[in-house]
Amino acid sequence: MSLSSTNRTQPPPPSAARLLRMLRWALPIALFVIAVVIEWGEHVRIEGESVSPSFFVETALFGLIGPTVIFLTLSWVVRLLDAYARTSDELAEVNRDLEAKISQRTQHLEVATAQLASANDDLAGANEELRQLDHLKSEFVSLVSHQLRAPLTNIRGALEIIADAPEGLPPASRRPLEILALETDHLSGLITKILDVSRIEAGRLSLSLGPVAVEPLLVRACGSTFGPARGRAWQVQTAPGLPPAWADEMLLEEVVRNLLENAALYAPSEQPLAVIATLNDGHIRVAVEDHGPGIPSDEHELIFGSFHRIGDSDTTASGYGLGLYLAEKLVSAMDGTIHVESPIWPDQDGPGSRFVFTLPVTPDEPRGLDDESDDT
Amino acid sequence: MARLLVIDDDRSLVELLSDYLSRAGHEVTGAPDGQRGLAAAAETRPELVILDVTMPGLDGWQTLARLRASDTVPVIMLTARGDEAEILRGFAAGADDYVTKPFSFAQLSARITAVVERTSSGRHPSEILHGADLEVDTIRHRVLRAGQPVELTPTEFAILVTLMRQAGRVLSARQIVTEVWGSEYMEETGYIRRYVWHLRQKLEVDPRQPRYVLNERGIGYLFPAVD
Repeated sequence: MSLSSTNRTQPPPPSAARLLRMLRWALPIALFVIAVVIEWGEHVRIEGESVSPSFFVETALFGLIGPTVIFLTLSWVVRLLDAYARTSDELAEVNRDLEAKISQRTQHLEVATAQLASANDDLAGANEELRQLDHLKSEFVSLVSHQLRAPLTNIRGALEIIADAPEGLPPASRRPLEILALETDHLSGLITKILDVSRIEAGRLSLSLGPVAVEPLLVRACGSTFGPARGRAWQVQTAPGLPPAWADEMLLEEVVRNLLENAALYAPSEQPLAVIATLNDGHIRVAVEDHGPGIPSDEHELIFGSFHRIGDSDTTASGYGLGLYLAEKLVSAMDGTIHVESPIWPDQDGPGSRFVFTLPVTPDEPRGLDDESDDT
Repeated sequence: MARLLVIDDDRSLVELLSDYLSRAGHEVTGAPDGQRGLAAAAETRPELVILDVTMPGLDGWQTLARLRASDTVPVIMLTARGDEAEILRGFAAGADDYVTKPFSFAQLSARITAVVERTSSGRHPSEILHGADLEVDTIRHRVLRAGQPVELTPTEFAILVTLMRQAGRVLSARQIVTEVWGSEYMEETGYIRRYVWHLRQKLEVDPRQPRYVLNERGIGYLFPAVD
């Protein structure tokens, strides 16, 4: 950056200044000489007077006063010019200093910019590294889960073969085998969930959106989660005339199943679970209510994180901390929201929780374009 | 009950499955890879093949393709969970059903029985409905319009199949609801209009002038009968 382009009056060139200094002397002297010659010619030559006191007085009057005034005026101009030149020099000096400073600062700025760019590069590199690590982690988890599937299938199969002929087993080994079968089912469930999560995290989730009749889906999800063997009471309440949601049927059922499984894990089995669907603010709102121990308010956000579980592992139920994470990811993918409210009952022993998710309503078909159908 | 061939490089699984399925009355042969599986298929002429997707050498897909080149034997694939693309690919390549690992032997056994019954009853392994240039495979849940796949949700698919199975007949919204969701939802006919509207958006070339899902004003909907 430079100030050379700013508006400034240039000082007169040195030759003009020299001419002015010369003229300061030459012009009064020339005028004096001319005045003396004219007075001498007038008085002595034309009027034939001798060199008299009046000649001296007039010569002094015309030959000295005018040139003196001119001399003084020119001297003042020369002084002004000198002052101007000095100021210009000083200005130029200041300008040079400024330019030097600007250039210095510019250099500093350039260095700082380069450092910033380098820091940015480092940050981007670190970010990329983190992304790669995260990707690697997902890949690793997915790989391990895939690798676990084969032996797990075999363990389950072997247990099924044993369970098919329980009469041949010594009585003492029946219970351990039951536990083994139960744990194998748990492990299968965990691996299935991990694979679902890694599929979502890898962006491999494909949605098949369409209208979804809410009540039949909720009833189906409850039925498949709590078969007769589970002995868990549940009820589905749906607002009359509830329009269909706009969602992916299979994934929506998975969301509801995850919320139900979560509720069943923490809520006492003698208390029924309620699933309530309403129309709220132009959205379908589904609430899963339980009479469990409730969720502290500082956990309301955290609870949807992966592998997050409330309390320490010794006191919590046997969940894996993936169901709610999965539910949140799936609801978000379907343009919905999910949150938890707790406590919801004025009951010290079972304050309960309400997991609420919303989904868009199926857009209404344009009137007049479609036809009417009678339900007779 | 049936001659089965299990092709999987996991020898423990082949052994356990052979044991389990033999107890269920099947005659089971095992093969540890695609190449030997093809040889065993030629030799034993199985009534159903259980084929693992992930195998070294000739993988499940390549094995299926070679098997299909000379045989129509029904095939159940053992796939990885969540790989819908892989499952679709399997159906396109001619698989009849699939189970995802980890699976239960009882579940696989039920699938085997269903596929064998479909095949032995003389029907095609899949029930395929046709209407104009529409082809709907009710087992594989696949819809093709002029050879191109159309993606429908399970309920949209169920509505289409309900109409196609009774092609030429007008079905009331109540009949459709009863068929698709069950008689307890008989009164919930308000859904059908929206379902049909969205189904047409996905299915019809010009949803304003539908060719497949037609409306009889005041009565209901119909799929036109094939000429």
